[in-house]
Amino acid sequence: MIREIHVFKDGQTLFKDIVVPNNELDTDGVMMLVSTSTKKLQEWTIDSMEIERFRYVYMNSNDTQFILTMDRQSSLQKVEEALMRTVSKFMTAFERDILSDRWTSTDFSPYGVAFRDVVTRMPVKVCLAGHGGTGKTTLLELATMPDQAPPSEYVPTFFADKAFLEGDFAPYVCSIFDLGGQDRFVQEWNKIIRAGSVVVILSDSTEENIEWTKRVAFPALKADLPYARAIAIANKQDLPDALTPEEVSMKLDVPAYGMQANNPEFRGRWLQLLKGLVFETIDFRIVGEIAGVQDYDKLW
Amino acid sequence: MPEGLAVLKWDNELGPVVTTKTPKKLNRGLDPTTAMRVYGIATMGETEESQRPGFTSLVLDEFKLAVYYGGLNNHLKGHPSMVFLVLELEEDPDVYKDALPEIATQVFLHAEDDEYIDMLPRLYKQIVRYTQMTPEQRQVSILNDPIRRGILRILMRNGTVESSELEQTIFEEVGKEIDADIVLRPLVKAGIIATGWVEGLSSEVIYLTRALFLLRNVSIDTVRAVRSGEIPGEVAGPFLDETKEFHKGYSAGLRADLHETVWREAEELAQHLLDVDSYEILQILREGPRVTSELPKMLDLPEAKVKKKIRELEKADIAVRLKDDSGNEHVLLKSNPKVATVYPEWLIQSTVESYNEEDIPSRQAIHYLEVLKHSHPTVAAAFEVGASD
Repeated sequence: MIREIHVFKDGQTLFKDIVVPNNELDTDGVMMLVSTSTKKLQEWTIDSMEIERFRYVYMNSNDTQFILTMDRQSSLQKVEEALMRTVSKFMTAFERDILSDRWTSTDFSPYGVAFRDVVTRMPVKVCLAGHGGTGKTTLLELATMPDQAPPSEYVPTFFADKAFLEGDFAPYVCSIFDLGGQDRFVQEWNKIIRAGSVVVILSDSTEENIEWTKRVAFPALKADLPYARAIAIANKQDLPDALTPEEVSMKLDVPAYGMQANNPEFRGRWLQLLKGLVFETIDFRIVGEIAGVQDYDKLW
Repeated sequence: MPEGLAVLKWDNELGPVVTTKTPKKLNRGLDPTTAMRVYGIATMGETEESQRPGFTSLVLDEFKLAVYYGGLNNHLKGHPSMVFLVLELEEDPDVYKDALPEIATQVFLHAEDDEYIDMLPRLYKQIVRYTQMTPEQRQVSILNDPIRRGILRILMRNGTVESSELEQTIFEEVGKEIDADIVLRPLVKAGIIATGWVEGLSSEVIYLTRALFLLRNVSIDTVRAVRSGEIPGEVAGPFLDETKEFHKGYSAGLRADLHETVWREAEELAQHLLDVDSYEILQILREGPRVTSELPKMLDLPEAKVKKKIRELEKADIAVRLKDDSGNEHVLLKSNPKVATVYPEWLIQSTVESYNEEDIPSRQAIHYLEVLKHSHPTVAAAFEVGASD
């Protein structure tokens, strides 16, 4: 997912648009570093660097430096295509200004619309991970098929399912992957989850499920999505013995949010949580930083 | 008759994506849920075999799918990696288990610059034709593909080669980057090559187990018919002279440079054997000489087309036309194209020499000699007898 764009020329910022701010790094400092590297590139050559969970993809065109900030998990090929599209659109609109001295007084803000269109074209990949029967498919359908009644019986998902979600997420659209949760499918997750930006870990709020999640799901997720951000959903809160979201959160070492995926009234809450996770306005955890099985004892 | 053909790729953000299909209105089987299931079925499992190219068929509620998966390598790179053939419920997907890998391999080999997109309608037509091919034509179709011809050429010379080295050589000789696994799978299925891993080598090793030749024979049935007086004497004499002369030259060519002659011939003969009309004429001529005027009715083809095809066969030294004293034109088989698989006995000695001279790693040589031992006709026959017991 594309987070930011910065366009520089002669050390001046021509245009910037920050969709999801980076609250972990000194953006000005990073941009100075990356733009220095960008200036050294040949025309239309793309390069990238990673810092923590972010990937900076950059290009130099007409002595103008274009830098996209992405989630590090994003697939590089898609990112490069996005950058090419970004620069092409910019140059189509402003090449004359850039090649003359007029650029110092040009208003580049109209470019924002074209940039946001590029952002929309690259969906945010959301992975719903968890054991079979925890409610992943119900949650997927709650988001994407609001008019459909919740499933009345449990049908295990074979391999995976996928659906688009265009909601109140502009400029993003979400591509939600519901991962088959039976043990035989977990070993297949590595073929499906690549390039996932966010992970929603489903739990049915039982001790057994939490043990399974730590033992089976976390190693699979950490291996392929170490830089993705994650929340846990403490589902089935309507059941009498359900652990509370706080307990689930504590036991999983991931912020957990209560849910009843089979209740249509929870749709608004679910979409808000998803939006909060995408835009980083709620508490989340980076997958690679979740405590490992061997570390849990230390948490207590 | 299939309902249509579609090519899919795996997109990390979108999952399975249909990149092209024919006919354009084809929709059945291409919904995201079915496509995702098929990817699951094709790739399930951690074994090496499950991640390789392979044929699968599925029966769904209202249709069937014959599917060829291009392997995990193509899949994860986001290249075209799945070819779907959508079938009516009453069709048997197994009918396409030889044809679909052939067609899909052409798709995967022409993925660069999306070349395959324009090719798909033509490939789709070929699928049906492929199912009607004789076993002889199926073997010939291997030799009609420049890449596989190149691979066989290398293997018939060297016997064994590392897949990475093979990819590099093919790139140098044919100018195309290939994924050896995709190209080689149908050859493994056909029993022509075997693959295996050798300790210390970084890529899989390919071994030739049967050599594939496309040669010319004297048509015994034609000569017998000519000698028995089935055609007028004024035709028989010149035919026998011309045929004898031709085969003398052909044999001399084989003796002078076997490899060069065999591969040049394979390329030319394959085209005629894979042409529907030419092949039908060839099949008729294999039974004996004919008067040209009989053929249009026998073939249910216009006269002009038959004449054109005969001229092409004549130019390729497969047929010859001769007129008798009454003005009737006779067409006879001058040389009979023959496809043959042969146990590559000559590679035993050359592999021993390569071992002694350390041209190839000793483990690779030993492994190949074991492969040759197991695929020797006497051993293979013993296995077959054992199996039937």
